[in-house]
Amino acid sequence: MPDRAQAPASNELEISIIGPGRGECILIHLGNNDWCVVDSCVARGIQDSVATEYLRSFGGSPQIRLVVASHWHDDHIRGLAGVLESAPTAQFSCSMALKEQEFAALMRLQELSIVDNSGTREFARILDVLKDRPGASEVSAPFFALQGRVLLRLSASPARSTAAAVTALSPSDDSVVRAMNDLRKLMPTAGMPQGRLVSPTPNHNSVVLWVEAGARRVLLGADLEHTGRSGEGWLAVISGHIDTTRAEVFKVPHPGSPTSDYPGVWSSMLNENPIAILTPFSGKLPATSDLERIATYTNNLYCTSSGTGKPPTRDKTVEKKMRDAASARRVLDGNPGHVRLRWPIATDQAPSVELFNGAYRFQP
Amino acid sequence: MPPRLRGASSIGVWSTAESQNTTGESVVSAVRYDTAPIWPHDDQSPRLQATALRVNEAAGTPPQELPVDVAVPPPIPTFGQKAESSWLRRRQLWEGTVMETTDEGFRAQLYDKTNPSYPDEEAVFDFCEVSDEDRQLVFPGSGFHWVIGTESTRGGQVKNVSILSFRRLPRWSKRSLQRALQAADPTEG
Repeated sequence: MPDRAQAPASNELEISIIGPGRGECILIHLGNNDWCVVDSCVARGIQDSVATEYLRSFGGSPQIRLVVASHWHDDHIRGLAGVLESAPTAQFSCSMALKEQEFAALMRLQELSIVDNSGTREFARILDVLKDRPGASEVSAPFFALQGRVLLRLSASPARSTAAAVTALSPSDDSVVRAMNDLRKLMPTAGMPQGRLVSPTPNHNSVVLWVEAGARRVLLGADLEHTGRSGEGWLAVISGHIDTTRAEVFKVPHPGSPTSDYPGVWSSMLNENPIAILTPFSGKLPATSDLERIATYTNNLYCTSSGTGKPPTRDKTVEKKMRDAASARRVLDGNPGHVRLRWPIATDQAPSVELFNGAYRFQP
Repeated sequence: MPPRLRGASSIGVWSTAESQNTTGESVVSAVRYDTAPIWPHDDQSPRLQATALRVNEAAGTPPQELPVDVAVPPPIPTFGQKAESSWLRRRQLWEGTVMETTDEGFRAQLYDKTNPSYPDEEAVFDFCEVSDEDRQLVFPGSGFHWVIGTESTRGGQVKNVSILSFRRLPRWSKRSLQRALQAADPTEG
């Protein structure tokens, strides 16, 4: 039985994918106790991000070097401000599209609004954390992610035997412009009623990451979709990607939805039969047909959980009236499962796969 | 100062106090809702007070501009309280947010206020569940309460009811939008 609270060895690469709480969280150990956290979710009834809870379970002092919000939807960033607070030296990175003044204005509007529960409020908290850091500049801007930009580079040193880097493969310039247009449309006009900001689709500004540690490569697909237009989505990622080494691990984008599937990713960026991991999203994705489709690309498909479960049963009268009034009920928050990969950075050894809290390997 | 205006509508029972500004015009200086507790969550109360104060500060606001800045409570039935004609017992309360609308209805996220430890859910409703009066309030991002309860009439008849009541949300004012854009301008100090 693997011990979840056992920290990785200093020379090990770890990719941990945890979810769904509401969304998912990815932790990357780049060796030498250096960590990167991508997105965040919280377990039902728990305040802290699963990232904070997991790293705390090791008992030491893991050093978070980079925190990335792959996009601003609240199913991806719940608890991320708390993660950043616990990592005072970590760099925070988010999509270049969020540099737009309209997005900053949307965050400011949330401070004036009586309506809660929006990803912009968590984002505003993140920016406050950056601003409140000792020695922070007046601007305290995030490190904006754009296709090809290296977000974190760790050079080899006496303490670190191999170099490591995390690079953004998206958004492309076209995607940024498109996402900015989407954001502008969200800005209310005078006389419009206040309301919660409802996320637009598709996810033009999603930040896809390429992780390098020694000869190891990992592709984290965020929620990027395939639009079929050159210059954006997966087509842009492939055309702008220059690393000839292929990834052995793939975080499947947008819970395996058909709109995020582009076969060219599998054929040009990934090893044959790579380890693919996905996190279900609120009982809707992936459908069994999605899992079966992904399983045609690889025999090594893992899911962090079988889903968010069935709605709880309430008293008979309530259940009957609920059925009369509402259809297609589904649970949004799950109890997060965990797929963990660990392998020595400097050898050819295959990763060990450990499954916790209901995570499983998909067998077609 | 005694209230000068009183009224009741689907937004609740309200009253206003009026005073004269420096130019002698009659202006509304406070708005009070008499249907307390109008919003069943403690965390909302301070915000409603703050809104009332904002109106008070803006004593120069002509009455016709009131809806712009006034937070309006949702028309929640007073379940559990006996009335002369009937009583209602609340069995279940959700707070909902509309995520998407279609021609037939809408998809919404639901937060269980009766059993807060239960997970959030999503469900689809037909527009026939929404009163004609509330129909215009259904848009992506709007909020509502969903109550399931048991109603007993004065004649002793008992029936189970499901009621969706939508929040009358305050509207964005030009001033708020300008303030937000200004605060977001990186070239502004």
